[in-house]
Amino acid sequence: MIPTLDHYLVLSALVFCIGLAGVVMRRSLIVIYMSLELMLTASIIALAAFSRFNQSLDGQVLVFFIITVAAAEVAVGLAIIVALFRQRKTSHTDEIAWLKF
Amino acid sequence: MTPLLMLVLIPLLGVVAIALRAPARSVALAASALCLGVVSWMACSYNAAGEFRWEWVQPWFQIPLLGSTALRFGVDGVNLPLLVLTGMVSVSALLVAPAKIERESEYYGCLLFVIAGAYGAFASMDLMCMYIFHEFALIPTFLLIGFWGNGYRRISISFQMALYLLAGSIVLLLGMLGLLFSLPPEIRTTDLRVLQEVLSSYPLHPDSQGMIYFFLLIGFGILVGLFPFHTWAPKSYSAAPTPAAMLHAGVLKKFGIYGLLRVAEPFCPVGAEEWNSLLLMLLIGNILFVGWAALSQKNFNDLLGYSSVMHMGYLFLGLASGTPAALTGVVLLSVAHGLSVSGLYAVQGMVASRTGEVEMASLGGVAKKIPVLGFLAVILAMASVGLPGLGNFAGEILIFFGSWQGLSAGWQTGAMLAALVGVVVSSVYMLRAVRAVFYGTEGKARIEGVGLSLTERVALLIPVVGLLVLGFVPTLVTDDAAASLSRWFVW
Amino acid sequence: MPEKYWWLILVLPLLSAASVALVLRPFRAVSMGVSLLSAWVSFAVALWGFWSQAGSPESVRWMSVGGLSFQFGLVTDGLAKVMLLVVTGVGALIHLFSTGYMSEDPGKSRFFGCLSLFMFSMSGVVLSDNLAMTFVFWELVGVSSYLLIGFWFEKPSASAAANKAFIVNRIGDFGFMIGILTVWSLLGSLNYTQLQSFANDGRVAAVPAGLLTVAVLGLFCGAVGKSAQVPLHVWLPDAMEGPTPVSALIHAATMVAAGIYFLCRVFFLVELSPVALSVIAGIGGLTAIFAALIATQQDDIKRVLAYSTLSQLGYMVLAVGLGSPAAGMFHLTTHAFFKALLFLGAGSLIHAAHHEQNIWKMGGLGKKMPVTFVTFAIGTLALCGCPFLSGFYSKDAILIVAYETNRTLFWVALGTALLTSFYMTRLFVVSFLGEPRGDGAAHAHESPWAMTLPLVVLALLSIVGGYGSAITGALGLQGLPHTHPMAAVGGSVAVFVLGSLAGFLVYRGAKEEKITFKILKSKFYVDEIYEVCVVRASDAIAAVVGWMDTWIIGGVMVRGVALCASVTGQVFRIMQAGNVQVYAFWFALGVAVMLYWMMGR
Repeated sequence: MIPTLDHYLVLSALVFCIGLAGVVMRRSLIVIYMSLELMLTASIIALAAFSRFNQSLDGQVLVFFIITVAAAEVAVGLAIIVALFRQRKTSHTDEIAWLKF
Repeated sequence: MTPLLMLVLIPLLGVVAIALRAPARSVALAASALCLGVVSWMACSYNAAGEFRWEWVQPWFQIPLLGSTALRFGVDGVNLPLLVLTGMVSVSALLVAPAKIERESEYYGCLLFVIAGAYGAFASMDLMCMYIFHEFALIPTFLLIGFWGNGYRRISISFQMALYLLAGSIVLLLGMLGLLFSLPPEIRTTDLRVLQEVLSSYPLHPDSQGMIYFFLLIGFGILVGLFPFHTWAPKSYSAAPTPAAMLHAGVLKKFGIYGLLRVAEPFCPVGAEEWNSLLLMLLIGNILFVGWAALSQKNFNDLLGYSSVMHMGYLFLGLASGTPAALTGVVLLSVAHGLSVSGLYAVQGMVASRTGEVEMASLGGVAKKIPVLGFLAVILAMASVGLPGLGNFAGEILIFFGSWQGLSAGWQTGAMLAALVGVVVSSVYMLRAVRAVFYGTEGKARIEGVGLSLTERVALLIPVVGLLVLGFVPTLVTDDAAASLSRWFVW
Repeated sequence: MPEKYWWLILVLPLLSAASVALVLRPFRAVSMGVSLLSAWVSFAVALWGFWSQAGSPESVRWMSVGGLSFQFGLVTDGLAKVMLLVVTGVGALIHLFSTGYMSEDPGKSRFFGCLSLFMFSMSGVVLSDNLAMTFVFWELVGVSSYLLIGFWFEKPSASAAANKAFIVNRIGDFGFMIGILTVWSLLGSLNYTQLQSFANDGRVAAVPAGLLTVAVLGLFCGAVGKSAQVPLHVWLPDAMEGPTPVSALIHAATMVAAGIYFLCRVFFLVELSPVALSVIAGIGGLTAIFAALIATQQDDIKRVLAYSTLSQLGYMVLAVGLGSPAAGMFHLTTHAFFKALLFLGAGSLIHAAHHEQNIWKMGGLGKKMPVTFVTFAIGTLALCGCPFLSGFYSKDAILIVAYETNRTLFWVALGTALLTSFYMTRLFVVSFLGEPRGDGAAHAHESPWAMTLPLVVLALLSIVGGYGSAITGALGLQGLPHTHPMAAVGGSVAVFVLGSLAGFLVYRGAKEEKITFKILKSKFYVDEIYEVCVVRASDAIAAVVGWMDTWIIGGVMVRGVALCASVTGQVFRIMQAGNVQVYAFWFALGVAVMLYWMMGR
């Protein structure tokens, strides 16, 4: 069986959905963060697959971008989470729901 | 450079100067006085028998589908008197403004913005442009009430006023867009003069006219305080600092009347006919309902607010009847009413600053303590109740005769009778107020301080002299206004 | 160009008023002099005009739009000339009197300024040649009267009376304006000369009778207000709060007579509507008897005179209503002389008795103030209709007209004459004869010459005014009776004798009221009825309307819209839980919906 574009895209969609589910359902910020990364990974898979099957490097270039941005994001995001934890002594989302009204 | 552009630029330059730390009050006074000089010069040298003069066009921005909006300026006999009114009231208002006040620069900056917007709105001959200038004047009024107003409710009142008027403006904008979109795209323009030429020879379809006129009527009506959309006015005027109340009640409010006269009535005559009975019903509300509501006011400030809304009924009566005499009367009465109401607000401010009181029951005896103030206040009150020899009477009598000319049975007669009853009602509440505040002996509120200062005298003399001149020589306004109206309307 | 001098009559008082208001107010003596001078020069011009043949000057355009034009022209026919003579003559004398009466008042400048304003407006009413200008000056006399009644504005009663006068007059002017507008829409002109020509060539007669009646009754409404006829009479007695010279000039001799003058001016219209004529006659008769009844029981000297004025004005209106404007104008002229005299005499009394107005606290003033005494006696006799004095002739003219046209009204008029003699005798006997009954009266002394000279002049005029065939001849009005039926003349003399005798006998030596009628003393409770039915009712409506404005329109409607917006906001606010995951969920759901919408179809 030779993998086609569809296989990659289905994989990507599955990974994306798992990530989304994690973002929406988990309560720990760290896990949400990891799920976010999962969603990024899903898009990387899709881009790499497109690049491969469309015979162009555009996708690959974008993948590099995402990896670098994700790395920066990890730094900033984890810093925010740590700062939050220091302030509020928690990293659970239902306890930091003051972004309203 | 046209003098009309100067009218807008001088106050704005004043704002710049104030921002650069020039002494705020002097700059504002100088700017408004300069503007008054310019309009006076224009009024003296205008002798075009109703034609437009000092026209000037500067393309501004393009909106696809609407054509280009330009700064189009021009004056004829209809808006020239209103520009002169703006000039007189703005000088008078700035003279009344206190010399020492918190955030002085911002305060005078706001007043200058209002003045620039008022000049722009009346001088523009472009639909969008005049709309924008009016909105431009609205925002600083909101700030003036919120920051420097009276009473603990001033902030909520300022919000209510701003939201109410913006809602009115939205309705108005819908009407304007409706007007533009019912024109074929190739002749679509916001140039009022072109619109007038086109629409006088190729009127709009009657159905769309009805719709457009309705939106324009309600939109402009809200800005003027057409019953039952009037409740913002008395409240905001009582909460506003005196100069802001003078500028808004005296000048900016007339923009709605001016818009109806310039846009709605001539461009949608069939629509006007269709909604005539509605307008007549509402104006009866303005005169009788608001008039009687004024009778029940306990507070001098509120009473003036209700009185100013009530007198709008006469202007609407003139618009509703649409005869040449009545429409000319509308122009004249707009000016006269602007002068008298701003003068009365100035008087009110002077009384309040000396007594710290607005309740009529605790006031009294001002005429004994400060005879000059009493004298000028009585003249202004008499102007407001329509005494001959003062401008309001000339305007009212033109409106009465003009409306009687176009009299038909039904609401028209009702409105006419209401207007005549209103003359009695207005004299009842005005004289009661004068009696409570100025006659008798000093009330609970002690009158502090001395007589009127020179600036205060000048501030009151400007409207008083204006009213006397208009009362004796109304032709100064009516001749050119009638000539211009006969060009602008298709009778 | 002698006709130009007519303008002087208007311009001089206006200039005087303006200069006093703007410049001269601090210089009290100068303001007084300027005002006095303007009044006398106006009188001189009026005298010149009366004898000269000068026509009317060209009219001036005040305002015109399209076909509607307001011109300001002067009418200088006999009627106007006579009236002008009365107005400026009495006015000049009263200016002189005021210099004495007001000499110590701190607001003297203001007083004379207002007096000049009044002279300007009143001359304007007389001279204006069209309805619009009459209305203009009509309102201006109203305002000068307002200012002068409220001259002592610190007194609550004075400012209340001023307001009342202005507002009641405004109610009359409401009808007046309707009348003017109706005339204009029916006939297309406001000019008296033109209207008269329309009346002559039958154009007026072609107008539907109902509309013409509306027009005439509308115009009459104005006269009812200004001449204080029932039911708008309530302001005049209160107007006595003003300084006494004002009462004499405005509220006895001239302004209140403006209504009668105006009715004569438009009589050519009035006479074409029989309905209106009978209404006018009825109102006149009613006012005459009604006011005379009230006058018999008043204690304040000025109030007695005020009700007497009302009654006499009713007489004049009655004459006009019976189709004899000439008799009305004749009585107006003589009444101006003797009523001004009586008021000035009363002023002299009040001045001498240290501002005591109650007749029961006077008494015995005859010996102390001989000039006032004699002149007041002449005025009283003239008013009562003593034969060979002016009042006799003019009153007789009206009685004869009534006798010949309407017997019911004749008896009403005769009854009024009887009451007039009675209450005037009462007033005279109580205040001048007997012993002083109050401190003020005990220390009274004769007034200075500036006050007595006008009294003497007016007394002379009250004597000879009735012989002035020059006056009645110059009027150029119809309806002066030429026959003298014995019943009318004899009746008139008889009621004079009867009334005065009764008054004299009842009140000779009286120290207090001898006869008491509660209902007359309290003026038929008209003020109270109006207070409840009009003032309170209107205030109640105002309170309701004010409440509705605040709570229904401002509350339910405006706040309601705001409430709708905020309720909508509340609903959407629930979605803003503050939990990032919920936002993410909505976001994802939104994306899914959009994807479905874009691709699914």
